[in-house]
Amino acid sequence: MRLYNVGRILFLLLILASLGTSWADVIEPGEKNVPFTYQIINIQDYPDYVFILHGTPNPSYELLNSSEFSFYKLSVCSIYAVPDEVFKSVKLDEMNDTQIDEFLNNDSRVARSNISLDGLYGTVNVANPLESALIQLKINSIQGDNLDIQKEKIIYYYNNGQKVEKPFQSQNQIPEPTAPGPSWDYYVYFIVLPILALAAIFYIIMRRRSN
Amino acid sequence: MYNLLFYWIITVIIEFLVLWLFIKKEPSKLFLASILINSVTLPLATFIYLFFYPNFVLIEVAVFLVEIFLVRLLLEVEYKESFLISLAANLATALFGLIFSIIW
Repeated sequence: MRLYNVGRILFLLLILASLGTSWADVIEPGEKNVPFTYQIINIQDYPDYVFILHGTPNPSYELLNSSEFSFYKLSVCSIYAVPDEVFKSVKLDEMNDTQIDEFLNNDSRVARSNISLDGLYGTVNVANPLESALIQLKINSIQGDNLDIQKEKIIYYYNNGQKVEKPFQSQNQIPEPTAPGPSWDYYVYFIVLPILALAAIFYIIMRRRSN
Repeated sequence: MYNLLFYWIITVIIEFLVLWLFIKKEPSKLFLASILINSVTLPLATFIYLFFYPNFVLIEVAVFLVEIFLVRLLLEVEYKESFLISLAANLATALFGLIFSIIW
């Protein structure tokens, strides 16, 4: 391949790379995603209902149990409670996405939650030890088509194994995480590693020259 | 920390592959060069980006320029070749970072 062509390809790649930074789901360099996970802590108190997670753009539907769950970072989801006998009769797995959306949002037998869930807590600096955030949800009641769920508390998990729990004071405001400072291994990475590498490069060059 | 180490390992591997594409001899020497070069440039570039000057393009350009000299020093190639190697290596890692951030 001619050098001229290589140059053109590299130039195009550079243009593409610079365009990409404006995409909505691209993480800025030096940032990392902190995902949300959720858990319904008293789902076992409602054995006559099937709990379904449905969101835009996905999942189309996902059955929930007492385990933690998460979904695509850009999705916004809601929780639906369908009486067990209704769930068995409607056969969601035979419906397409539009029919599922129609059923969950319009059928009078389905109870809809009053809160929407986000897939991503946000992005933070990579030096931030925050790894993930778990929101525990509690079902208050299911009456008619109203599923009353509240956010009980948020548990922040850090990369040193530490976890911090914070109760929700208001349903619309996520309690802020406490941010411990960077640990000693960051200093090894940012200071010791470059110094050692520079010393090794210097040694190689000196040794080569003396030969 | 695991994040930083992961990016360091991926960058070392990608830049080694680029070095290998251009030079195609002494792979262990090329791998060592990739480790040493990225042990200098990646932590410093990340540190500057995180704590002083969060401009990705300018820092990438600075890394590209520094790596021209480091590649020439360590691999004893002409400036023209080290220029192309550094350009290709940094484009490859930037592109990987971009694609990775979309998928992840």
